[in-house]
Amino acid sequence: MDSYWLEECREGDSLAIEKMVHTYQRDVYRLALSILDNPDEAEDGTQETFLAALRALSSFREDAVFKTWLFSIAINVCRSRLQRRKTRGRLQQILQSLFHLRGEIEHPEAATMQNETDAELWSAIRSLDEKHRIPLVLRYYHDLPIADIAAMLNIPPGTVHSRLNHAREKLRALLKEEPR
Amino acid sequence: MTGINHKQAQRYLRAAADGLLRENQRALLDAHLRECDSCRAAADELNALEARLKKSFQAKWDANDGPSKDVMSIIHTRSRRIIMTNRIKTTLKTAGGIAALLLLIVFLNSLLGRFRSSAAPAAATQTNETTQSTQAEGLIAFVSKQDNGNREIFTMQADGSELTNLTNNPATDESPAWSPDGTRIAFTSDRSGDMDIYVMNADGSNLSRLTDDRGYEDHFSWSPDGTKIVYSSSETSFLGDSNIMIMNADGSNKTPLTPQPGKYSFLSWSPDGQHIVFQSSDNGEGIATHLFVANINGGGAVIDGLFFEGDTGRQHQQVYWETPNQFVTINSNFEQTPWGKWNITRFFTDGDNNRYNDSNPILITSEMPIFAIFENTYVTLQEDSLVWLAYQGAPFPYSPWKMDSACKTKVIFDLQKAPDGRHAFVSVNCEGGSTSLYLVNSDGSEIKQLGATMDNATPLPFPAWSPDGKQLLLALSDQRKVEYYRVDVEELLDDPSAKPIQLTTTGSTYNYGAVWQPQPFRFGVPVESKEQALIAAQSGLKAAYKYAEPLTVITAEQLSYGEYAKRINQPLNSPSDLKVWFIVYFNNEWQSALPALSTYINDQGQVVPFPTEMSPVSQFRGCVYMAVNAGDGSVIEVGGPLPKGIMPECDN
Repeated sequence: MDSYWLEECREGDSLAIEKMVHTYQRDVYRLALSILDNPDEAEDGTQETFLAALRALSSFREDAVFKTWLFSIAINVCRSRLQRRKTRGRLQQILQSLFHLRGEIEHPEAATMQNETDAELWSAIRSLDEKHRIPLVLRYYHDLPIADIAAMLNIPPGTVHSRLNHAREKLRALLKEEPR
Repeated sequence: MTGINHKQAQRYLRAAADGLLRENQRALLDAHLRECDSCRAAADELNALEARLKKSFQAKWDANDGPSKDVMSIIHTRSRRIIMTNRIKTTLKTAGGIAALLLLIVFLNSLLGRFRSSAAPAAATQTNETTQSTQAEGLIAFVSKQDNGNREIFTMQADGSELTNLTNNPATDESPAWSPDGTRIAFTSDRSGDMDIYVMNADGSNLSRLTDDRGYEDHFSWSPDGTKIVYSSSETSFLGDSNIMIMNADGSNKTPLTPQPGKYSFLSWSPDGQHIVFQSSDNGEGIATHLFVANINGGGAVIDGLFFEGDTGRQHQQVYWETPNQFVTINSNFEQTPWGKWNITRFFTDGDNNRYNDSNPILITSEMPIFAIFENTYVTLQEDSLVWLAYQGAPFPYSPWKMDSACKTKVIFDLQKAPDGRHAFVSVNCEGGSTSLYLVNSDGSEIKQLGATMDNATPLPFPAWSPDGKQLLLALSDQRKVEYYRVDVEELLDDPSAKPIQLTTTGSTYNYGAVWQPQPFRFGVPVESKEQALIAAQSGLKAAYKYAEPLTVITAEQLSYGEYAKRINQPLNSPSDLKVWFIVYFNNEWQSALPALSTYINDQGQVVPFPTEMSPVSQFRGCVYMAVNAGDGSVIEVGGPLPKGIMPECDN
């Protein structure tokens, strides 16, 4: 998207905003989906991302690539959702242990687990923490170069590389452990 | 040998995977791989893993083509506000940064009260009033049980004076409810044999019976604009099957909203008065609850449909409107766990019905009771501590409030949201003993005790906030009788030794159902000259800025719909009841909220269209304009070009 559009978005031109959303919503949604692993949450995340982007549009530096910038917002939005999920889960656990409940702890992933063909791989991926899982998804699903991932996560490229190495190594080890 | 060793090869392999390998390194790696079986195996393994990852990711997510259409429409509606906020931020920056912001906030604090209240419009202090007053304003209506058991409706001034029995009837009279303009009191009485709804003036005069149906008519509620009353009508008893009915405030045009009697209960009006929410528990086997949203259309009403296929045992307790078309409820289900399972669920009043059956989002599920809901937070219990948690927006560190630290016995507490939606009043009673009162922020921060702890005083439920949120009426029992006390919030915050002021000495064993008289809605102030209107308009302009800030409680939509629209959504009939209306357009933001402003009443008392140059569509785009109805029915445009420096875009 060129700067002219962005200027119009900043001005509040609804057509321009629509165009922006239209151009990127699929990518943003897939990004959110691949991090959150839950279609409903991904939808909310997409929405939040665009709203946050509009809110922050004035801080967008023209030298940054818009899509990278937008993705970095999406990643932050998704991360805070993951954080929220964790907090909620923890609270639930506390309450349950408090009252010795045998309750189900919410697993947002549960619903999507069924249609996964490569179960071992997925369970290995899920055992990665967010720090390692997100670069992996950005690299292998979104096909992004290391430099972009680094910009989105706001970490040096070397760190991205080492996190990817760690993630791959861990996956390799886990997959080896479990007989196929 | 110019080649690389195994360790380097491994490193190059990994770099290659991440596209970080240079050309010459690539050649070196290739050469090594040709010679080294184990490294080649490692490379194959890495490639296989990469391929497997890609394939799995694609298989899982590629089918999802994008978000649903809603995303676009939500972004669409909300983006306007964001743009507006951005402008304001820029404006504040250019206007001198923090100093300007502080000034604005200080200035606005004096204005806040009148916009904040959602239940009852707040009293406005007039700008030409120099006396700064926290004096109580308006009457309080309540029910007092007489010695012979007869219940009568009384009013008194907020200082306890002028106690008046309005009903004076041997029958039961109760459930007083002020009309939103504060001029009339509706109530229920069985003076005609069965329970009916009546209405009278604030002084008890001009009594009129609104329902004369056989059976029980009660559980009524005024529409936000005071033109309609929704109520429950049962042929048998107040516990029997009933219909939800709606009528005009004069008792005409009674229309059922439900097809046949059932176990229906009214929940809430939407702030714009366009919808009502009610629920049914009409399944004979359990209590399967369905939530309904009725669309109030002209004189009649149409049920939009079943919005929520409730599971057995669910009950909706509280409705909190986020926008005129979107609300959340606190609902609980006591069949899932012994102490119930509590949810916060979001619903919408528009759109097609099926959508809600499968995708009404449950925002929060809690194993513990949820007591209240605020803009982003809710209050629940953790052991014997109250906790505030976020149900949307950023999570925040919570600190449980252990209320019983001072009590040796069981704690009984009550929590009542303030009209501003940003505070709550909490009374903590050590069973059978002392009572302490607190003011708490809506996120649980700043728990401040109000005055001193009281002995031998047990608070009754439902303390009543004054419309301006400065006072609170509290019924306290000394085990023999119940009397009303007034909690002056600011005074009690300042003085740790102060206690609530006793207002009544009725000697009654039961006083209850207190409701504070709404103050006439004054957005802005009465003006007599164009000059005054201008001053008022400018203050209104600042208020509008304030309320456009996303961090404040009242959002632009809530303000426009909840406060503007319900007042303005009718022709401006009487010049005297209208003081000044501010109409603020930010990028057409509030345009849809103000449909009735296409007309106004001119000097001759005729309803005429607004001048086209005041149409929000073209002229007002991108800038802020204001129109003021100066109270005599004439319209003064005070917007024009904004004062320079406020919005640079509008300066030329």
